[in-house]
Amino acid sequence: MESQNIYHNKTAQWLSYLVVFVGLAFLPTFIDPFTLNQFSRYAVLAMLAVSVSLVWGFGGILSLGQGIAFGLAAYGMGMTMQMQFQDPESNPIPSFMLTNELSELPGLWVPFWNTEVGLLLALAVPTVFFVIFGALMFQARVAGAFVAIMTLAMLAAWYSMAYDMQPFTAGFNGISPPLPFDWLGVSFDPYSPITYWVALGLLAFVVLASKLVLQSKFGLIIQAIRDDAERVRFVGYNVAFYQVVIFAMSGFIAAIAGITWVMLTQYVSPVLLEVQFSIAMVIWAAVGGRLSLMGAMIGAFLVNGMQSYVGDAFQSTWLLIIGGLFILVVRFLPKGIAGLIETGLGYVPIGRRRSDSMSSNPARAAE
Amino acid sequence: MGMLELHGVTKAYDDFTVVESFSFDVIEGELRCLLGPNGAGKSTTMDLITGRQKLSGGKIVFDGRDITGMKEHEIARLGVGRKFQVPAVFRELTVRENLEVADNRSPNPFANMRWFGRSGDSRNFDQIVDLVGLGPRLGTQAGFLSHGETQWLEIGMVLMQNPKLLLMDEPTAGMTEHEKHKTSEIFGRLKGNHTLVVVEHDMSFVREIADVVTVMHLGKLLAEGPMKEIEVNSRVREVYLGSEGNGHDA
Repeated sequence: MESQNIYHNKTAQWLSYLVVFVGLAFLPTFIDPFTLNQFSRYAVLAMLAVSVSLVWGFGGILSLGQGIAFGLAAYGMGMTMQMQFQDPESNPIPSFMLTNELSELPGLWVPFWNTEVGLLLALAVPTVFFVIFGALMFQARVAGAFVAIMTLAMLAAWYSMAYDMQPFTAGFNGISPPLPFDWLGVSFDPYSPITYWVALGLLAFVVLASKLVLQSKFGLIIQAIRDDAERVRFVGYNVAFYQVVIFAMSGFIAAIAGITWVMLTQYVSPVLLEVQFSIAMVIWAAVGGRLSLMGAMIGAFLVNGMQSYVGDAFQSTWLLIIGGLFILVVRFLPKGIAGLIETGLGYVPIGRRRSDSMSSNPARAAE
Repeated sequence: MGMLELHGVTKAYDDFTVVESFSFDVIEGELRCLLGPNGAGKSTTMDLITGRQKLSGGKIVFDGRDITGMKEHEIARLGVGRKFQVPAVFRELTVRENLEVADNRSPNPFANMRWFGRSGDSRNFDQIVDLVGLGPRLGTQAGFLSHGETQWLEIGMVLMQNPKLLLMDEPTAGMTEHEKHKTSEIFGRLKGNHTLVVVEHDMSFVREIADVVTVMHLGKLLAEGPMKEIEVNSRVREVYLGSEGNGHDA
C-alpha cells in the first residue's frame, strides 16, 4: 500500500510547480517595476535555498559555503559587465584600478573582454572549485558538523581574499558596472519584465532540473547516503563520487544565482561572501522545509519578503526575530512549512480507495 | 577453486592482535558458519573481507582475484554482499526504495540520473520480495518496520545486489523463535544457489543450516568440520560450548 497523501503524489507535485511558475510569470501585469525587481531578487535567493535543500536536505551535506559559488559567480558577472562598459581603445581599464595604481589591465581580467567567455568562467570556476573542494572533503570521508566547519572556513577565506585584493576586486567598495547587462542584442534593465522573466525562468529551470534529478535513481542513492553512507558503500556505490556530484550541482545552482543577482543589482562586493549571508540561506531552506524544493523556495520568498516589508520597521532587532523563527522551526517544525502542508494535505481524502474504506467502516472512523 | 580464500589473515592494533594468521576456504555453493565466543574476531574477519578494515598481514582472494586492500565499494561490486550485525537499512526510505538502491546494476552517478525505471519491474525483484515476505510492506518507510522485518529487508537488499558471496553477520540476532524459523527457511532456499558465510551464535540455527562450521577463538582458527564433529570436539567444548554453549544449546 503506497502513501495516500496527495503531497507524495508525483503528478500532483509537478502540477503544483507548473501552477506556481505560470502564476509567477504573470506578475509583471500587476505590479510596479520596483516591486518586480524585488521579486526578481527573491527568485535568485530562492535558487540559493533550493541549492541548500538539494545538498543538505537530500544529500545530508550541511554546506555553509554556498556563498562561495554565489560570490565567485557574482564577481565573474560583475567583471563581465564592467568590461562591457570599458573600451579597448579609449578606456581599457576600470577606474578603480587606476586609483589603485595599476597601469595595465591585470591578466585575471583579460578574458572578461568577451561576454561569452566571461559568463562561462563565472559558471565554470565556482563549479570546478566545488568539485575539487568536495573531492578533498568527501574522499577523506569528512561528514556532519565537520563539513559545515570546513565550508564555513573556506567561505571566510574567500571573503578575506575578495576584501584584501583591492587592485583586482575594488575591495570593500566592490564593483558597480554603470550599465545594465547587454547580451544577444538585449539590454537587461534590472527593472524590466524581461529581466524578471530571465530570473524566474532560471529559477524554474533550476527547480525542475533538481526535481527530475531527485526522482531519478541518483536521487534515491543520494538520500540513501544521507541516511547511512557506510551502508551505501557496501551496496557497491562510490559514496564520495556521489557526494562530489551533488555538492558540485548545488554549487552550479548557486553560481547561476550569483550571475543573475549581479544582473539585477549591477553591484558586487565582499558582502556576498559574508558568513551571515550563507547561514541565512540555510535558514530560508529550513524554514520553508529542506526536504522539499518547493518548500525551500517558499521559505526564501517568505523570509526575504518579510525582511523587505516588515524588517525595516524592526531594524537590527530583525536578526533576533529571524534567529527566533529558526529556533522555533527546528524545535516544532523539523520539516518546515512544507511539513505543515504535508500534514494538512494528509487530511484531504483522495481517490475512491480512501473514501471507500472510510464509508465501509464508519464505526472505526468514529473512534 | 575456492570462492573465498583467506591466507594467513592478520589484524593487529599496536600490540593487540585481533585476528592472527587466520586461513579458510569457502567453495562455491557452500553455506559456511563462522562460530566463536565474543571477541573471537568474527566480525573483524567480516570487516577485513569487505574492506571496512585494512589487513595487517596475509591476503584475501575472492573468485580468483586478490582483493586485499581494495575499497569497500570495489569489493561489493565484485560480488560480495554483506548484512550487518546491527541491521543497517535506509530508515527514511520505503522498503521498495531500499531494495531499488540495493539494485546496483550501474555504479555511475550520471547514468543513474537518467534512470527512472523501477527495479520493481524485474523478475528478480518479485522473487526477492516474495522470499523475504515483505510484499505487503513495500510502501512502508523502513524506519517503521519491526526488528525482524528490518533483518529480512537487509537480507533482501543483499540479494538485490545479486552477489556471488553473501556475508551474514548474526542474521537472527534479536529475533523471536517464530522469526528465527522463518529466517532459517529463507536460508534453506538460498543454499545451493548462493555461497554464504554466516556468523551466528544460535546453535540450533547453525545445526539447521550449516554444511561446514569454522570455529574461531582469540583470533585464531580453533576447529573446522561438519557440525556433528564440531559439537564433540573437546577443544571447542572447552572454550565455547562448555562455557557459553550450554545456555544456547538448551
